[in-house]
Amino acid sequence: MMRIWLWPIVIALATAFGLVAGLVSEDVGDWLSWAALGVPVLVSLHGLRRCRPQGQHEMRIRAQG
Amino acid sequence: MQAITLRRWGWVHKWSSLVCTLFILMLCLTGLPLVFSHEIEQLAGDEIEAPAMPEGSPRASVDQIAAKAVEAYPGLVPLYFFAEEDEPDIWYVKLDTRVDTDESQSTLIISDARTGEVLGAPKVDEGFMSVMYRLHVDLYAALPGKLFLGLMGVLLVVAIISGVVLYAPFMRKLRFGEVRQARAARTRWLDLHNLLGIVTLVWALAVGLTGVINTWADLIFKGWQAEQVSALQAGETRTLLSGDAGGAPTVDGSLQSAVDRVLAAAPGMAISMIAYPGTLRATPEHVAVILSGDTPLTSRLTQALLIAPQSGDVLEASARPWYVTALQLSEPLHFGDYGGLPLKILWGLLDILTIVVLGSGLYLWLKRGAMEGRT
Repeated sequence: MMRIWLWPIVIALATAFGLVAGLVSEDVGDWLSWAALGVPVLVSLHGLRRCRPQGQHEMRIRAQG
Repeated sequence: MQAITLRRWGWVHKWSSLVCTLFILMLCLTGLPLVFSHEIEQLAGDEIEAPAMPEGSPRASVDQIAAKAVEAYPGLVPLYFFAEEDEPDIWYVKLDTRVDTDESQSTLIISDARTGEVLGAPKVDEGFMSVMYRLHVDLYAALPGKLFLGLMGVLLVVAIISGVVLYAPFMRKLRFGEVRQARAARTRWLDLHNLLGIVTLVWALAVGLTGVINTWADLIFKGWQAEQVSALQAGETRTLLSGDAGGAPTVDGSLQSAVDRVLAAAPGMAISMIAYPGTLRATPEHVAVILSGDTPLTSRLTQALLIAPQSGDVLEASARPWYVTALQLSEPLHFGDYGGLPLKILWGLLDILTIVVLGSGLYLWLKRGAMEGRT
């Protein structure tokens, strides 16, 4: 159970923190909120990058590894 | 999870999503330019700005501003003055034929706060951004349109929650973030749908729920007005500054003196809005002055004070009820306008990711035959 939920919970907490930080504090809060809300965006972009069909090159690397 | 429970949650996820998907897609697409509306206005040069004047130039009284506005728009009366925190040299003034209309045909103008001159009327009823705004807010159908979109938002929240329930069984054999690249397109998109869905979860819930609350804004303000009027009638008011108190700005029946007295009664607060008697935000006999604090949070949470211009008594009829607090906190969390341009860009990216979740969900449903068995 923990294995499935650990990262989703971490990302959810980061997002919630980011949403609130900019609201309750200027300057520092803004920076914290940008950093925290960057977490779900970066994880998503990383996932999107891997959604291409696997090319021949990568297949070969995996077969060797 | 038992197979039957899983099937039920699957059913809830499928139908709540299917019913709202096209509307939510439309909301995501129209919301994207709206997040950047301020920047787009600036780029398009549509923004009306006050001419430069030396710092500390004296300000015109609100009575002068009202008089010049009525002069420029004969037949109309002023309803509200709005002040923008970052544009101290201008007032937005809303005019209409009467104070108690539904304001759907009202005119919004911009006046110079120093001279009272009318600077122009922002083009709110024409152009691309206006179409985006109306589609996003009410589908050109006024309150019923808003409430309908609110209902779609409720379905989105149901779809998100049921999606989270379904996440665990799908991930039993997978690592977090794994996208099975070697598998068929539908499998890859299923993995991506699950990943992007769970990652954007809190943002999508926050923007979805606050959007739903925003659709109730008209009803919420009507409710607060009724509460204030009944508190006044029952004599349950708190007097912050009585008409005969010494040291306060004198009472001369003008709107400016009324506003000055409210500010004297509420130190540390700034004017966010002034509402004429009889409008939705005031009462039939009182001017309402909506004040805001000076921190990011308190600037959103406003306090409404009432004043009878003739007597000069400053009253608080009913402290801000919880549902108004909820609405006022919902606005920034929906618009993403409280952390500068970087926050808006993040808002835009999360919006696009939500579009990918919706689109992939639709794709998975269209290609369902391959996996689900033919039910």
